[in-house]
Amino acid sequence: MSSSLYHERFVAPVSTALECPPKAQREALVRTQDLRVEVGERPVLRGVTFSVMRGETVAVIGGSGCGKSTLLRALIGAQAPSGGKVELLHQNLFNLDDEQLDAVRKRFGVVFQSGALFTSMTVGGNVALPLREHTNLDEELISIIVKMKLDMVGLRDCDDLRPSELNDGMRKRVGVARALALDPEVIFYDEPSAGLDPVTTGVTDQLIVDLSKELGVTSVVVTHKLESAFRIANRLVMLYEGKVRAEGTPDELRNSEDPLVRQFIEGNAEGPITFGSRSEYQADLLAK
Amino acid sequence: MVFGRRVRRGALRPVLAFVGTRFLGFFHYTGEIAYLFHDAVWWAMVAPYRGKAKLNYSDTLQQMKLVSVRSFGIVGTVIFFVGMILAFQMGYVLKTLGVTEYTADITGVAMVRELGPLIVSMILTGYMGAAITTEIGSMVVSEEVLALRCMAMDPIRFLVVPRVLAAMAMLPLVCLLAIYVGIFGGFVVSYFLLGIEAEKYLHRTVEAISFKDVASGLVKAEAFAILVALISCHEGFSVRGGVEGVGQATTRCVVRCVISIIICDLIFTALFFFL
Repeated sequence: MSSSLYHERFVAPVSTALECPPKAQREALVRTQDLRVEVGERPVLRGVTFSVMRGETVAVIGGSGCGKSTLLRALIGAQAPSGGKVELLHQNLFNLDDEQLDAVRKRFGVVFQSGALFTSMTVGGNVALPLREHTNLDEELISIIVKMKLDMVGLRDCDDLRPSELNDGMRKRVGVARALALDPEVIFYDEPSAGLDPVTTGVTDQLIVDLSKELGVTSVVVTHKLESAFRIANRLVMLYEGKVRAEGTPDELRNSEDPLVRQFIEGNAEGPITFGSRSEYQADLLAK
Repeated sequence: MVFGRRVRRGALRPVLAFVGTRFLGFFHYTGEIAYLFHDAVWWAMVAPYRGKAKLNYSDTLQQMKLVSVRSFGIVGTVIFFVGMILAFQMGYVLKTLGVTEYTADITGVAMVRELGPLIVSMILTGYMGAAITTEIGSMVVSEEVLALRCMAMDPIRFLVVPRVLAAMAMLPLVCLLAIYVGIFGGFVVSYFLLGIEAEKYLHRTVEAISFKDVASGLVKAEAFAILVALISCHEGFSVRGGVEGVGQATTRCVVRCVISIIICDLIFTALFFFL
């Protein structure tokens, strides 16, 4: 079941974050401008502006309910904004008709938190699905590509298994293989390490780093796991209350003077971020 | 003046609001189902010829198996007993009039025109409709439907078209077989308990059932098939709020399918009555 590649990833220590791509490649593939999204009547994103350059791996971090998942849904065209702009692969997503949107969708991949694998199909069937739908390749070639994609995620011999026979980490890696099926330019990861044990988290992080390095694919990773974010990203965007609070390299965020960023990174209970009740920090501020 | 200001403000307004909301809700829902039907027809009949998409044959065949082979055991059992009950009830009334042999006519016509399509579609609402809503609802919850969209695959083509086609192809066939089983149920009671001769029973049944009866039964079955498939898919797509939402949607699906089938049945029955 496990290929040598899988063991390599499993045993080898996770390499550090990626180098920034050379300047020549610095062309924004994902860009939001004053993006505002309301869910029902509740504003979730209140003017998010950031961009992701070609070849970059950007991690979007932030506490629960800060709008990370909503941002991801807006970036992939699944959540219409109430204002602002989303540009993906140089196209304003919400100005496109269905055919144009489908053309853009074929150029990016999404790895969902739960894997979102089709349980009625085998692992191979899941990875082959986009190829069967969008290409005219014959079955023999499709099965070779499926093997290749599964090999990339360390699951070469799992193509006949059902998703229900896999553990969480394997399901996520099959999700990655499926997202890679059409050789996308951008991959979006929704909480890739949520619910995984530390070793599997490490394996998944290494996979994201390897794919970015080897394929030069641009990645946007939405995560609340800081260890993972610092390990895989060459730039981080921190959301707080629906806005970009901080943006920079892992080192820049680690050395940030912003008390809110510091509290989030250090995981302190006391600080400007509160969960309902007034903290001592706020009481001090009010007293002053 | 009779109602006065107090009555209008206190009692009538909420009642009118309730009735109005329900009334508008009914039209809104009908519109949603009509849109879904339009899209399903487009993906099934127009898109393949424009080279936009292939039909998902394997899933359609799988759904056809679910509608026919797997459901026929329960459908056959129920309709057999319904045929027997009908023969008993008719026999009880007709015996007093001295025309027991008319049991064959009534059982045959009732089965073909009404009970066959109605009972088969009711059973398939519970069997196929609930399964479709649960399946699609679970796919919504586990983001599989979103994954389809992100892979530039339309969920209507991928999920709705195979189910609607399977229901349209198989429900009339199941209905036809069920009609035979129901008539056989009536025959068992008539022959063994009411003393009607076998040859006479079969002769009267064949004489009583006209082409129009069979056509009306099959048209109803086809309409019910489309309704059950569309409503179940729609309820599946409308799931919100996780696993709890799936359960609520399944209940809603069964209730709405039953109500829609009854309304549709009334319309078709009236139509065929005047035709």
